[in-house]
Amino acid sequence: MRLEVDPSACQGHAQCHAAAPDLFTLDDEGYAVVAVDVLTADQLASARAAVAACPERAVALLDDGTRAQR
Amino acid sequence: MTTIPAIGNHFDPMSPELGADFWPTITSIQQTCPVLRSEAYGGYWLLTRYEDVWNVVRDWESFTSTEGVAGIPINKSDFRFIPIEVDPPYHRAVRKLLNPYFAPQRMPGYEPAIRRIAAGLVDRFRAAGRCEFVEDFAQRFPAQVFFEVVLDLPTAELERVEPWLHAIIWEPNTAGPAVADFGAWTQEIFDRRRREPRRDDVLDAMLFGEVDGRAVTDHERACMLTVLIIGGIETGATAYANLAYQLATRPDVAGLLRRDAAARANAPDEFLRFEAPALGLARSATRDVEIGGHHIRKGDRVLCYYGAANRDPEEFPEPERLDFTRPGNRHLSFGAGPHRCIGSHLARLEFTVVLDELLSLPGLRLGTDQPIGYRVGLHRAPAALPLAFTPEAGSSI
Repeated sequence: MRLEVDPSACQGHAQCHAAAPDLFTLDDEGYAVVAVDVLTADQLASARAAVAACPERAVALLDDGTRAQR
Repeated sequence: MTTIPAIGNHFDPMSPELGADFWPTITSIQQTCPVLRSEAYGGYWLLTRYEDVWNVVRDWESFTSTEGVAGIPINKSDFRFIPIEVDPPYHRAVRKLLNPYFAPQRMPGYEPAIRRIAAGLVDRFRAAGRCEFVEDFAQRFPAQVFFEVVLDLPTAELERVEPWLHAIIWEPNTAGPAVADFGAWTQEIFDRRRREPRRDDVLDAMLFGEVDGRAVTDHERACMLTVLIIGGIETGATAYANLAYQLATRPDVAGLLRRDAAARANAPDEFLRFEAPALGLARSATRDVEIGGHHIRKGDRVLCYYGAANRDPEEFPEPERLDFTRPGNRHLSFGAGPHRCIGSHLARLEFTVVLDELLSLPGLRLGTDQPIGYRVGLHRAPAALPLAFTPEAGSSI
């Protein structure tokens, strides 16, 4: 499983980072960058929290390229 | 179109007549008429369901902010709070300029000063065992933090802006002159700052930074600083007064938060859900659209009532309960969509600090037997909040 941020939707609210600081970094302007390539099992709960936290629904959780969860 | 007989068709959520019936009335409207037409303020639709509010605030193309959001009547002046009353793509360019100063990574740098300011205010009354929390703390703390820590401005300037801030929050539909005065004051501030040494903060960004590859104009600067200050001060003042009331009247909750670290970590968001400081903000429909079976016409005003959305049982089971274990608390006190509050990270940090201070006051309770009177405008908060607690000397832990 991996995380993806839609850069056209990201508005820099940084709620994903607040929910899962290990899984996202923020660029200088506060836009989100996924920090981890492949999620481990114990990161999934945080990843889901980050998906749910995004006010723009810009973060997705993907399973080998297909959209597993929004 | 349906009306609730007891509510009539001129419902005004800011009416002081609602009094202690405020929340029961809002809840009743949500249950019976979640898309309520009111002819007050020139006519608007009151949206109280989570799903409807969530959809509207994200759909900026169908629901524009450019006719004004703070106050229901359409804003006919030249003044717009920027970026809250402009649409994308320009909105995004402004947020790009301002976001870095409110980003999570700035917060650790602000924290020591925020804690010092809070402790300093509480230390003034800690030994007395009593205070009037609104005047002694809630009105002062976010204001000092915002001016000293975020804006790097002398707190003496606060005395000048306070009357305008109060007009904008508590009499939003007639606050035009206050907004104009506020704008003129910002001009003075910027003129002064321009002559000072450069620094990496939001005022300098507004002075020397760019939007869409060109310099920020004087007018834009005035519009930006005004709304940043309103958001940075008044919402916090409301939130902390409401927090103090809850803790003073629910010793069981205070006790839980003192001993349960997980509950305490979730507490800011649960209190914010329970009583959204900015109860509702407006939009204008840019096209005809259906919401909940009602036909909203192009040009109609819509009030996205966050306070009610936060108590929608379809999103928050048992919404009237303060529950610090809610999974993924997606409350709308910071809004959603492109205009989502830029200051949410600062707000949460401040809230945590205030919570720590209040929980450090032993035996915290109301300091009066009289019912607490509330002010209602864009926000709803105690007009005055006498508190009592066991007196203690020295500073907080």
